[in-house]
Amino acid sequence: MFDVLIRGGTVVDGTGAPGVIADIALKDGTIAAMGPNLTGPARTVIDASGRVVAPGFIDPHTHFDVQLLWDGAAKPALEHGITCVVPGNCSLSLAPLKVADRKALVGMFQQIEELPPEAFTEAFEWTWEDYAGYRTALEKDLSINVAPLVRHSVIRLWVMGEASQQRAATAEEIAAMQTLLRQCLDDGAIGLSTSFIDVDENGRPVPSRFAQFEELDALCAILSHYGRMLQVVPEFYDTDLTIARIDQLAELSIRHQIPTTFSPVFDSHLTPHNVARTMARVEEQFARGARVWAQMQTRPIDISFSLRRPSLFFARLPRWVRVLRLPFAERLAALKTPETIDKLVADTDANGGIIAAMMAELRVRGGGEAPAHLVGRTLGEIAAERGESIALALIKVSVEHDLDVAFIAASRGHEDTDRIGPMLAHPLMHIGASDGGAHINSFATYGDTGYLFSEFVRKSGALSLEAAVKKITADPAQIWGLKDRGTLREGFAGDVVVFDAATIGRGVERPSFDMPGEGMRYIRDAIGIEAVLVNGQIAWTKSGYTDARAGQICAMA
Amino acid sequence: MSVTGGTVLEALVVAGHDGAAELLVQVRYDNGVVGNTVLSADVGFELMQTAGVESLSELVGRSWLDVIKGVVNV
Repeated sequence: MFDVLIRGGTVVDGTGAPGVIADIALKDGTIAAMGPNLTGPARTVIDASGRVVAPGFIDPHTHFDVQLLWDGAAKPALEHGITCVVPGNCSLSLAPLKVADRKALVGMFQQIEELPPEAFTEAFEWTWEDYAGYRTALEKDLSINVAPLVRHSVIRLWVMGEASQQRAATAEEIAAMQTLLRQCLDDGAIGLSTSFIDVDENGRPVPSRFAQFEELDALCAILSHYGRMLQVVPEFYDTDLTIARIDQLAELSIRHQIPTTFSPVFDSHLTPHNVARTMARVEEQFARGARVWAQMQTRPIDISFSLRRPSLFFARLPRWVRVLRLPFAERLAALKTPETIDKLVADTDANGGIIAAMMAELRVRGGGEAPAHLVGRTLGEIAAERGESIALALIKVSVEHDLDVAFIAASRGHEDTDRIGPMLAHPLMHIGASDGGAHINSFATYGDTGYLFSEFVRKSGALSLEAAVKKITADPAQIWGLKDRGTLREGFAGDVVVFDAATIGRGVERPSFDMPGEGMRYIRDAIGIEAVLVNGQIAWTKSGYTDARAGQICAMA
Repeated sequence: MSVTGGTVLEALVVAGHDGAAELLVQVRYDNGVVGNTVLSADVGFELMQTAGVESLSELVGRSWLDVIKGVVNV
């Protein structure tokens, strides 16, 4: 008897081949049979007629290291069709870590991922120091598959302590890091991540940034024994520096015969040649035999701000800048003073009201004090309802809620669908960089896969349905070396997503107070997903999450 | 030849990776190379203050070396 029979769907198997109508039978965690009109009893039958049946999506750039300890589904990633996440990117992870170094690492996590303090003090029991202990804690309650990286910074911190953020390593210390990395890989890490840009909560470069090339080279020699991935965050804001890093990665890739990937790659009308130049160098290096995968996100970049902190969003308005840079109490007082308000409002009406018009498109995003009935609405709508000018409404709404109302200027970067589509379709462009689980107070990192289909398959046609599925299933599985995942094939893992190709997308961004300590984060709901199966068990349906806990630490090919 | 460290060609607000507004400054350096520098909000505001400008447009045409003097030790 099969465990699950998915009947009558259009099977898009992840290879890029055209979809065909077929049944899929799952048993003991894997795909037991595929084909038309399968017979045989099944405990559960899913009618997928009119729907697409695809491999579960793989998100190769996440920061769920902490969240997975209290939420084994990495919600809401799983309900968006993600069945495998790669946490541990950008040189921070929770292991290996000595007890004495926990405080320092928590600071880095709070800086980069914006997790509330309760996430580290209330949400899980910190029982481990080594990677094996972290893996044990992680595996306890997984309903999503995890392919965790180990981060360079924690390896450095373990071996060098405070000196990890002060100097280059000695030969002995590099040797100790090699030994530690080997142990982590034996204990389940699927590769190494490092960063050339991140800083800790005090603005100091994270430990990996103090490494000289010899250190990275030595660590890649260990990756070489396992054929594992090196992931880096380059100086992505500068094309020339990024190209220099591509060349460096290529040398490491060729010398050690390892895959490498760098993220993120952004497009913007302000830097219109960035992606073309970056990919030209990637193509050159692939032609030399290197594997240097560029990684690009699908979603546009928004600007978010509140009047709690000065934002460069107001950089064109000198009077606004002066007021917003006042200490909080003085700022709040100034924003309640009629004369000041009049002047601030008048400033936005200058130049034919261009700035006021731009402000009218702002949406209330959330923030700690934003009233629910305002969230998602434009400032223009709110101003009209209140009978106020746009700028006055922005000030008044903020003041009425202790300045803790966040506004969003949507799609201010990486936003041109006609440009982004072909970039995503490039055969050497790896779709990822969602940052799932990070920047949780700044923007939602969920729904990038739905957006891929709604924006670049249905709307622009830059990718076919089959090509889009391949980009987020078989491609990442092969790039990272995940064993028996990413493709619908007999004997492969039963990671399956059933979705409606006509509606799959992402919901509107909304605040959710579901983090430890009732901390806030932004999320998006899934649209068009019917069911998500992980290792042969139904993990999510439109009715919600199930009790299945079939997630695994991924085996490597 | 005077050393200016370059000339600011453009100063714009852009969307940063983490959703914050950042300051993109385009500079033509003394050797003719044009490059972009992206600054966080804190550094951007500090730069505007030390450069004595109240709007980004006032940065255009200024010596890059002169502009960043107050922000970094040069």
